[in-house]
Amino acid sequence: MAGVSIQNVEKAFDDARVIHGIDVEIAKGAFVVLVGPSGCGKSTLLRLIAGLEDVTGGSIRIGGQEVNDMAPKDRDIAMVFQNYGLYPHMTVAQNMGFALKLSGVDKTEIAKRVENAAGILNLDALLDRYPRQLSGGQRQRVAMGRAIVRDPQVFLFDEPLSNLDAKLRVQMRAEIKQLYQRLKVTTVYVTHGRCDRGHA
Amino acid sequence: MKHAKLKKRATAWVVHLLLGLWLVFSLLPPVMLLAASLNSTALFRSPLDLLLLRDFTLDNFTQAFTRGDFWFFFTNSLIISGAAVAITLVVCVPLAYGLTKISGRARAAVSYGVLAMRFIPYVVLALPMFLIFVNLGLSGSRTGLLLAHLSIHIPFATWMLVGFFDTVPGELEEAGIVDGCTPWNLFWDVTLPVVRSGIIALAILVFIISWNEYLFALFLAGSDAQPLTVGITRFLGGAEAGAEYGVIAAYAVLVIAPVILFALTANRFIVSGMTAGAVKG
Ligand SMILES: Nc1ncnc2c1ncn2[C@@H]1O[C@H](COP(=O)(O)OP(=O)(O)OP(=O)(O)O)[C@@H](O)[C@H]1O
Ligand SMILES: [Mg+2]
Repeated sequence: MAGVSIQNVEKAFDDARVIHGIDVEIAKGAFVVLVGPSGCGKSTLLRLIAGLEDVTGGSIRIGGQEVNDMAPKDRDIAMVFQNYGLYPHMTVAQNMGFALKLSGVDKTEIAKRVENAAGILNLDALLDRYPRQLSGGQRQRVAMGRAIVRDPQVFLFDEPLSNLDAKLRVQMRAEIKQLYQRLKVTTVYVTHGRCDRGHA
Repeated sequence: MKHAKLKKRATAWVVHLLLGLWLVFSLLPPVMLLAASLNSTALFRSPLDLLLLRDFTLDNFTQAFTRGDFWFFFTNSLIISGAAVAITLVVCVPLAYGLTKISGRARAAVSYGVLAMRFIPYVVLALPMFLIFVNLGLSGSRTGLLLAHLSIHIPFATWMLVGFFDTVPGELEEAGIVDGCTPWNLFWDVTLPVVRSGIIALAILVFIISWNEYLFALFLAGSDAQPLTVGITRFLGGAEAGAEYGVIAAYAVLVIAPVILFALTANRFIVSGMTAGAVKG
């Protein structure tokens, strides 16, 4: 686990400046919620932390180490995308184990860790299904499962509840809260809805 | 309410009637072909007699096989079509994937260039190709004919594939990047499987286009590389008496049978939505 330190970070797409030098200090093990209206650069900030975009100014540190020029896979972060980004051709188990498979973890170990995560998220019965056979809430849980099997330094959540109906949103919010209390991993959680804020 | 129901019924009837007519219209030629191939006196009978198989015989097929050098033409068709599919995929899949990765203007330029090839009616290309192939010693060879086919397939397939790759949401590859994919992993393990059914359908389409191609074959195949579509014309010469039509029909049936089999398998892949539900909740 590690803290994230964002110092004077700027991001511009060609001429369009989206992030104008922000500073955020996220302590190790903290759960930080960023709220803002649509288009204010929340996703962009998460993508900068994840390394999907390069900063145009300032620096980002994860666990004290500057990651500006580090490839996403070396940053040891996991991200839950706005639309989940599940691999449609892989089963739930394969989706969750993919990162481990890429990093050369052996099969029995992958199975063990996937099973473990599935247990935490109530996905045991769904491991052999494909994403298209899941409900929105279940997909959401798979996306979270994919993040936790890797046991990363930092979790990034990008408005993960915006695709769910109101009732499910309440339920998933509670689950994210539980998950955090169980794992205590540094988490950055981004949302535009007032209703998402503060509860976790 | 009753009225509305009746109206709905009537519409359904009309739709079915039209579809039925269309079915008869589109199936009649191939069915007549089959009927003609199974009768000994194709030309002198009324279509009804043919359909009822009044002079049933399999002799036409025997003749098509034995007299028509069937396997010679078949081998040419198979090799050219098979190689066309393989090469088209090997060239176009990475090309199209790469195109979706490069920036706006460069992509537009290359895409347009590729597509522009399709503006030319390809009859026009046959003559210059013939001249070029003569100079290169490729005229009358399968390699030459294959190259001609590729000049049609590659722009077409690239254009189709760019469309496929564009349907893959960017988020998918980003999830892959965060999961630790190398560029190769992103291509091979993440994106390619998502468009797989489209690629299979495309492969089948390319095969069928090559299999049915006639014009290039006529110009470029010489006598050693002739495919089935040209082979069939052998029987036309001897047809003054009319007796050969049965054999031609049998031969034609043999030519289209593999294509129909192929198209039937294609159906399954064309109608399948792998990406459905991948991204939206
Ligand atoms: N690749 C890009 N090229 C140019 N502009 C971009 C790009 N990505 C984002 N932007 C711009 O940056 C701004 C912030 O985008 P971002 O996606 O971070 O917003 P957001 O806060 O996540 O909004 P939402 O709540 O709607 O998801 C927007 O004005 C957007 O148009
Ligand atoms: Mg966003």
